[in-house]
Amino acid sequence: MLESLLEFLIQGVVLGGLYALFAVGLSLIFGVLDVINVAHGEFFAIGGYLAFAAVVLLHLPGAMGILGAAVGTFLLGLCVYPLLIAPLKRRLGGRPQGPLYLVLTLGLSTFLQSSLLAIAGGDYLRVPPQVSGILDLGVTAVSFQRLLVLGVAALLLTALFAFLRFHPEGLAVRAVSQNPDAAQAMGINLPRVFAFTLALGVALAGVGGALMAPLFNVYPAVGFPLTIKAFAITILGGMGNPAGALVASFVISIAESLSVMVIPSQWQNLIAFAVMIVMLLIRPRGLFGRAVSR
Amino acid sequence: MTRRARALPLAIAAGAVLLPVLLPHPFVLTIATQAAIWALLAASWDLLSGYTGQISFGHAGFFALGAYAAAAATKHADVSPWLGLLVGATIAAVVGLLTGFPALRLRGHYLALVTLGLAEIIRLVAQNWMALTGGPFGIHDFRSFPGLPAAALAYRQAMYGVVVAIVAASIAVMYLLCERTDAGKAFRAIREDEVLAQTLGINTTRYKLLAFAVSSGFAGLAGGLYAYYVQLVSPSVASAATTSLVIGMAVFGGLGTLWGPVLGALLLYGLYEGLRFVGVVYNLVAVGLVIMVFVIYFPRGLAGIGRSA
Amino acid sequence: MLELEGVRSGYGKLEILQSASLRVPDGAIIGIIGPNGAGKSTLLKTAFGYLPPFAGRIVLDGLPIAGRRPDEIMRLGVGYLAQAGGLFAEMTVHDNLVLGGYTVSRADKRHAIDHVYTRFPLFRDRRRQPAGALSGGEQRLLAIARALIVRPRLLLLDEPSAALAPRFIDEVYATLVALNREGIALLIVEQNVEAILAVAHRVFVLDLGQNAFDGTPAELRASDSIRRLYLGEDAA
Repeated sequence: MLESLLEFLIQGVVLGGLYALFAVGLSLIFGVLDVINVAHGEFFAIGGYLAFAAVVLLHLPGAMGILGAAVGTFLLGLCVYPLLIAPLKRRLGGRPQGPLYLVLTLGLSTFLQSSLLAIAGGDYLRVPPQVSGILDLGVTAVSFQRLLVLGVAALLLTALFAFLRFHPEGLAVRAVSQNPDAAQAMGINLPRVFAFTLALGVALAGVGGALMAPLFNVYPAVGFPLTIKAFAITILGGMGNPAGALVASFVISIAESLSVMVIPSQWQNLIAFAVMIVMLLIRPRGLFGRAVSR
Repeated sequence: MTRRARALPLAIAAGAVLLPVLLPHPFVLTIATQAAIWALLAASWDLLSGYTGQISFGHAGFFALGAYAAAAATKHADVSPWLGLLVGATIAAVVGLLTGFPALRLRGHYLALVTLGLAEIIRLVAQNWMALTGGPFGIHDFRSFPGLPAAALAYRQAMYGVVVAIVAASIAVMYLLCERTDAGKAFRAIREDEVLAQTLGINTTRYKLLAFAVSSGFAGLAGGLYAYYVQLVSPSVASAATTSLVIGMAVFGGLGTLWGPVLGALLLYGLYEGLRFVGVVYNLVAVGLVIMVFVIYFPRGLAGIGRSA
Repeated sequence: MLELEGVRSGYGKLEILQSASLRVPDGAIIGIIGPNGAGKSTLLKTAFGYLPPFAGRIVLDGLPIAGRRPDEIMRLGVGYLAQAGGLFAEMTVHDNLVLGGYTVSRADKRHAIDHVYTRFPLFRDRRRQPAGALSGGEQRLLAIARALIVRPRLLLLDEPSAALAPRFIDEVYATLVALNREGIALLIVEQNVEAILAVAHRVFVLDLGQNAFDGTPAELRASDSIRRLYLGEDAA
């Protein structure tokens, strides 16, 4: 019994790395821009396609695939704020109209996903693992690829949190998320921070896509189920609180993993949504978020 | 509405009625019938999200509930399809009403996310509960409306007539509710400024719940119509693509006008299917573009063109 | 130094300021008073770029700045102190000061913050506390101290005395006067008429989005109609 518990626990932790890459970026974007990026999963998919292009088409080493995905999704992400969000903001003036931004990013999601379908076709593309082999831990075995995901996630997220905490530009990002008006009065260039933060958030998803490509295969809709689950995770952790999203990622991934012991595995995915709905009903701000007034 | 503004929806209505007579081509009828179903779904979404301002990202769920309930009732309990439509609509309305309760306390994107989560749960249940929903294969092998002619073209024409009649009646009911009753005024007041509405003595709770129930009920009705028309219900009806299409249609046509989303549905669905017919896979790309461009630059959609912002 | 001419502004479609004009000469203290809804705060926000003007000219040292972003105007040597919520309440006192120095070099920043701690020892003692834990008056002083880090030439203040106990009002205004003696120009929107009349070189009265009167404090006090309308019956 304990062996099973340990096995599922380990699998849960490994899965949590992926969820964290996704949810932290999503939460960061919401915290700074006040926008829920429905198209987050499409950047995950694009990351996978970039890895495919680098490794399978251009015969570059696996690491280049990951780097290419990161750079590619970052650059693409830089376009989103100035091209889409800024014009909507201009039209709306100062009035907060959260759902309209949701509709906008939903449109972006549809556009990106179907563009991928149009450009690359709907076939499941195969990408070779960046690392092969399996680590035998006795109670369970974990592929090195999955450990790579966890490792890279840990590295990137540590770097992200260090940046936010210690670097002056990171302080500026936090300032914008807390009080955009005061941040401007300090000389912080809001549009630049918005564009940069969004690009950073989606680049994390892009790296996740490149890392998971060998495991999930690459196809246009690969990211969407993760997006919806990431909403649930960020709600649990507190929308706009990247650290909360980090914790919630592992809570959900471990809960999902352990749940296999009591419910049939195909119902695993329900857990995240059930948790989200419960949270929204009893405590919308999540475990660590700020109080929700409106 | 001014006389000029009223001309367009009337023209559409006339066109809809005349279509099976003027262009009795099976393909045209197929597109037109499905477009009508989407029009009903889009109108139902607009009642809740456009008129009352409670933006729902989960209407695919209510649509699916109606479709599955109707199909299951007819297949397993041999319920007449006419009654099946009622069953579907009622179940969807009840679930919608229940959704309305937590929605009372949520605003903006939190509400949208809760509805999205609900739709996703419905989709997961549909996909995994083999006994009830047939799992990934869905429900098929159930009869459609009795009394329709057997000949292929005549059948399509009759089916088109049935669908359009029910859709038109439903939209008329929703329109009357939104534009001619106190409920409609309350809906708009809630959308503009809920706190102000409350201070004016409007029972916002009652009207929000009403909006949820009516909106989801008609979405379920649309689902039932879909079930009996296509005669196959699978989990994909609850997918995000459905929600995305509906929102795109409503934004394209103009939120909060009811006839705008109807027009948007007819045109966008026509575009969507028309492009597919031409062999281009870019149809959904166009939908995504439309949503983005219209949300940013044409917030009032087609309904607002020609009118000052 | 700062010149506003015929400025029309508001929120969205709501026009609050119909036509406002004023001048802030170098090194002066200029006050803006008037009834609620007159557009005083709107004028300040428009001058600093939070609101784009619908019409009119805004010129800083000969440079037109209408429609520029707040961070651009800030870099031209202008500071802005909001009426409320100008601090980063969840961040420490120290981090607030560090952010104040966002646009200057590390060395300058450290030097300036040390200077603040010397001038205001209470902030050094409490530098690791969240700014929101300070009292209202202390927060107001912190906001001023933070604005000084970049050595602005002009400070825009929106009701610096709002919600403060009289003791703190005196302290805030004493600090402002001292800053002015060092050469910093001040444009102050005030509800507390006595406080501003005591220190301003010139006062503009705004009503219904337009200029109603302007003059020295003495001229204001001398005019019966102005006194009755804006200063209250019993103003001396």
